[in-house]
Amino acid sequence: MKITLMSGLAAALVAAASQSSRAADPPADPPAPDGGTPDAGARSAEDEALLREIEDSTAPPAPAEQKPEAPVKAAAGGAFSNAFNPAMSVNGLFLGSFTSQDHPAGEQAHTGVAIQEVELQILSNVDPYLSANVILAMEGGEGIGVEEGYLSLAAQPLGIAFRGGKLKVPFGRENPLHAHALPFVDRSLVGQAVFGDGLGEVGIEGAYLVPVPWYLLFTASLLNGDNEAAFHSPEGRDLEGFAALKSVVDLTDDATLELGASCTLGRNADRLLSQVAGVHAVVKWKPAAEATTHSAVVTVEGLYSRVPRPGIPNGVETDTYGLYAYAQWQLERRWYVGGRFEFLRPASVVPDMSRRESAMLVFAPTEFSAVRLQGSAIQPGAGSPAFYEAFLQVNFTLGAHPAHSY
Amino acid sequence: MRLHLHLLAAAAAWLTAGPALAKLNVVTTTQDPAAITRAIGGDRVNVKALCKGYQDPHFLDAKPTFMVDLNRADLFEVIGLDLEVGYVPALIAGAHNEKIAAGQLGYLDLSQGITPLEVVALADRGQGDIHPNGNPHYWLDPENGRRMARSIAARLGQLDPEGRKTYDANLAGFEKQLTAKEAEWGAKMSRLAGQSIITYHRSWSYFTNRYRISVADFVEPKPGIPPVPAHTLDLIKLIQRTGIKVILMEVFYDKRVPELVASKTGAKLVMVPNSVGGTDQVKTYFDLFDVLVGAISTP
Repeated sequence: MKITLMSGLAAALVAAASQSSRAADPPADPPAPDGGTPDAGARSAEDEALLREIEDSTAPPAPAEQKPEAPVKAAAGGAFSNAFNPAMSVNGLFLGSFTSQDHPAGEQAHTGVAIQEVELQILSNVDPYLSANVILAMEGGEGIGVEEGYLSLAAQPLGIAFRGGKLKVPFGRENPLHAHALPFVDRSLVGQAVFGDGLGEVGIEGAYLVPVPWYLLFTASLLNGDNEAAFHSPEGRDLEGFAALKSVVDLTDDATLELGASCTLGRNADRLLSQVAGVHAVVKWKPAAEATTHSAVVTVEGLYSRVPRPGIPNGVETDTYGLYAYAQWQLERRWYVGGRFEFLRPASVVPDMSRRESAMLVFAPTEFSAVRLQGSAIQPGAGSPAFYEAFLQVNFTLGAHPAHSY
Repeated sequence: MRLHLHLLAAAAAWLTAGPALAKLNVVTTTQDPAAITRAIGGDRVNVKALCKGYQDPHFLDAKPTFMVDLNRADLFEVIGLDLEVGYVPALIAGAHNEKIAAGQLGYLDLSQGITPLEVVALADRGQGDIHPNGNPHYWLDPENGRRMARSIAARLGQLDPEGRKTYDANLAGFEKQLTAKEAEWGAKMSRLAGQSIITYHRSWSYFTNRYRISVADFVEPKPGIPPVPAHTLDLIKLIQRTGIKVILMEVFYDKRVPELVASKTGAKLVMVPNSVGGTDQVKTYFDLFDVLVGAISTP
């Protein structure tokens, strides 16, 4: 079934490519009588007939018996060119950590200095029809994993933007972010509890900008469902579905409000139907006259997941939910402060809340480097004692890194 | 409640927007191409600029609400030379409008019509926020304004052939007025020819080149890097040693260090808009140079 999914993607790419080749040509239609732009949907019968004639004349010929070709010789002088090299960038995260715990669990912070992650991004148009974005990540500085690797169609049939491959699923606010773009040094408690290292899946995605006066993006995906925390069915035919709505409006010229809702469904390791839903709200303020020196952002995101298990009634042992809220304030051109509050109610026999409060100070000399100092107080719940963590992170970017999403 | 009223008003405008479709929808990154496009397009175009005239155009955010404007655009005009590299690719990707993708007729990089200054052979971020393909602040030479107007008129004519005569006529009027204004500005600026000034950012090269003024140094130690004490001290000594009389800066930069330098040296701090809309009185491309020339050439 996974092969079928990729075959479907290939078919979609081929279908859209033919449309793209037409879109890339300058418009051949006459202008509308009112002087407006030519409208492809308003072709005359004569133009349609001519278009069919052109399409027929350029259709691929019937396969003919092929003659063996002579071996291709290298160009004289071995003239290779690097003019078509893709845009490349490297993000590095170096992390110093301290924890007050004597024996932290495996996934918790350990006192010491480490490479948190090194990420290599390679981005380019493949041809007039496709662009590719490959992001390789070395977590802990060891081993290379494909964090993302996808193709995007240049053509957008019916106004839908398609991409396929391994994607960071645009679920909510935090999940799509790469480690170097996270607002704090670590991911939220609820994000880690629901999706582990994050929801990154192989599949195809379509995104449609709904034609209303404000920004309203509808995204839907068909995914393989490999995430071990929520899905990971042993049957390859058990696909995961994802849908999200994101809306952004201008509150003023200097402030925006973003509201979003996301959900995803798929079979888990026991082939039972797991469900995850989330909502988020973001208010951003950046005065145009002081855009480099003052800004603020307030974000709230809540997640809920149900991962059923055989023989266990749905409820406290299957349901995880939680919320994080943070605010960041730019004091000066290079200085930021932030605070974050979180709670998490993990699926457990003993229902209890864990909480974390964090404060952060950031010094960002340029948009290509930053030093972040973060302190956190954690109350794990379930009778465990509170503990504290501190981080000093150095974040840098080399090369032509594309702009982050708003 | 106010937000609801805005949304209702926007929805009503959208539902009743049929006749407005006859006009070309043009979106520009900055205000100067927008002003020129209004002059050339007249009532055949709707024009919106994303960046305010008093905003640093290097640091605009790729706001989704801008993507809505671009989704409906017939033409997207950019300054180019990497001025908008931090947001234009993301805006185009999020606009879901094939017409304005790079390489399409609906995408116009205005830098293609000018000769860039300060092209860098080897890009190195150790030298600050440099633009490897050339300094992007070319609209500050009025002759480049003429070239921008010609590029815009040609592209509007391609997108709307029925309006070509109008665009050509408006272009001729624009150029005639520009020629007359250039003589006036040139006469006023001739007083400063051969003199040296200090500028905050490396953004006045085309302007100073046009009027044969030298830029001795910058308030920023490197492009995009905020002032540091050691460099500021060097700057004060340079001004005291050479008798430089003018420190020129945009309205959106922090004026504390330039004010300090001016107070220590007696040089005149000239804070000016570098784009249409930078101050209330700058409504057209000609207004921009009227204000610039007036502020700089006045002793």
